[in-house]
Amino acid sequence: MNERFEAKDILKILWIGLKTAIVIYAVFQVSNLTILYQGF
Amino acid sequence: MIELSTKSLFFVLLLLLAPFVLRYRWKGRKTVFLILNIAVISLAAGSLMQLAITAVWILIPFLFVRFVKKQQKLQPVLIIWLIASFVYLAGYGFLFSVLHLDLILPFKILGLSYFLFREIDYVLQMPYLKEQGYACDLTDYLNYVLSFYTLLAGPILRYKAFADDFHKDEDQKGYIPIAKQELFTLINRVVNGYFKVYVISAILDHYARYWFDGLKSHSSMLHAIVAFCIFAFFNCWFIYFNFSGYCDIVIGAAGLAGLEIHENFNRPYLSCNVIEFWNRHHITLSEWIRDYIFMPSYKLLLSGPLAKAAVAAQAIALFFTFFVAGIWHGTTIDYVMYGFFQGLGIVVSLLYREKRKKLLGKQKNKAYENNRAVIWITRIMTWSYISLTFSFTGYPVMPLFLR
Amino acid sequence: MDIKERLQDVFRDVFDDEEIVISEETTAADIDGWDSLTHIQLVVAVQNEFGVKFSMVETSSMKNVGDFIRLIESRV
Repeated sequence: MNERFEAKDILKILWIGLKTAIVIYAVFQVSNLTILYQGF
Repeated sequence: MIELSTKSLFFVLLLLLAPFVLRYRWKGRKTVFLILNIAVISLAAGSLMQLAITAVWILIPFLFVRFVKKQQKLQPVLIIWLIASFVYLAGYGFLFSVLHLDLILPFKILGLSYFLFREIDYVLQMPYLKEQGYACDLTDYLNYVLSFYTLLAGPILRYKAFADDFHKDEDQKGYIPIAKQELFTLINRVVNGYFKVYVISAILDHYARYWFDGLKSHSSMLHAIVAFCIFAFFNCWFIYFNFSGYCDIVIGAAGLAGLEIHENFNRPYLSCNVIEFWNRHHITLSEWIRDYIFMPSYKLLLSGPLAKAAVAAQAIALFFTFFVAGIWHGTTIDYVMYGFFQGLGIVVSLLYREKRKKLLGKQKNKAYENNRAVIWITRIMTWSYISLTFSFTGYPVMPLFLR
Repeated sequence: MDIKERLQDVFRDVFDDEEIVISEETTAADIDGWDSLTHIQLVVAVQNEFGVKFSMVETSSMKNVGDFIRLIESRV
């Protein structure tokens, strides 16, 4: 990947970062989420 | 040993680091992938015995394909053994009690139901693939069956697709680059996947459980029915966000590593009938059961007893296929009901479609199918049926009805 | 009649369309109504016409008319 990073890329990264932060917070809140999909 | 799931720190680190390892082309690449896969399954195993049993169960199909001479004749034997041993290892409780056996194993093997599909695909396809020049290689086989990307819950990959994809660009040396746009798209997909699972589906799960628990103490039948519908609503959206979120995580993460995994969802609740639903929900499962259960049974019926009744043969083969698929989802009586209702929904959709085609003729039928009002009404009807039948997966609904 | 002509008759019969003309490259996309359901009907009709049997894997591997012809030739 040789392309340069532009200003709008910073916004994209921040948006991704925000979602990630929410997810991490949620993971620590939720202790007993039914993990539906796991094949036994 | 460790609880493995998409939120395990170990798994997250693996997803982050694997692209650096797998995008680099050198002759040790498949061995490195194998080491990672074996490490994951070893850590996830609860005991050494569990690991040993899993290892043997996975190796037997490979040994069969590699060393057995009269494969065409003995294949059915192996397949039957695989299915029977799967039923035992998975612990189909109600079958055991019917047979008065008390042999349930003290553990559940992670990813077992998906191993079964991949093993069957390998066993049935390899004789033909060998003729096309594919090598019967243990590392490739183990990487295919154990791949940590699809270990937890699929999607279900076919061996040929896996082998072609894994070995592509092997004539190149060094790192295979990724474009900036693709990098952003894939990372976004992974993060969105986590969001769907741990934020959205977590909330939906909470409400689904709340309404289901409330069913135990209902003041009237009407109240119970309304509560059940609300529960079904939250549950079906929980299923969608939970499962498609997981698929987003693994498909995105694999894409970052340069591996392609087939899509598993395509806006399923926009389906106008149950048949279309199964072409949009858990797509790789539908394709597998179409190729390995539906087509053989349909062909068998059409070649023999129902040669003149194609629609009847289709209906029977479809019901059987989806009934089996329903049971595969889980080991309790609820899943038997789930299978029954999926089979029923499919058959009703099929017969209705065939009747309509006969009555209206090609032109009018197409017009009917493209009519906006018809589309929206059938979408609502289909979604209602699906969300009600989904309540059999993951919740002990049968005991409730039997009371 | 050669294999392709007999095969064409089978196609015309299964899809109920006397206008169908097939070539080696003809696939499901070219024929209206050729989906996974009618594919099986087609395969069974081919089995009956040529007196051959195809395995499950062969059945799903037949993607175009050329595949059909090659598999028939290898059996007959």
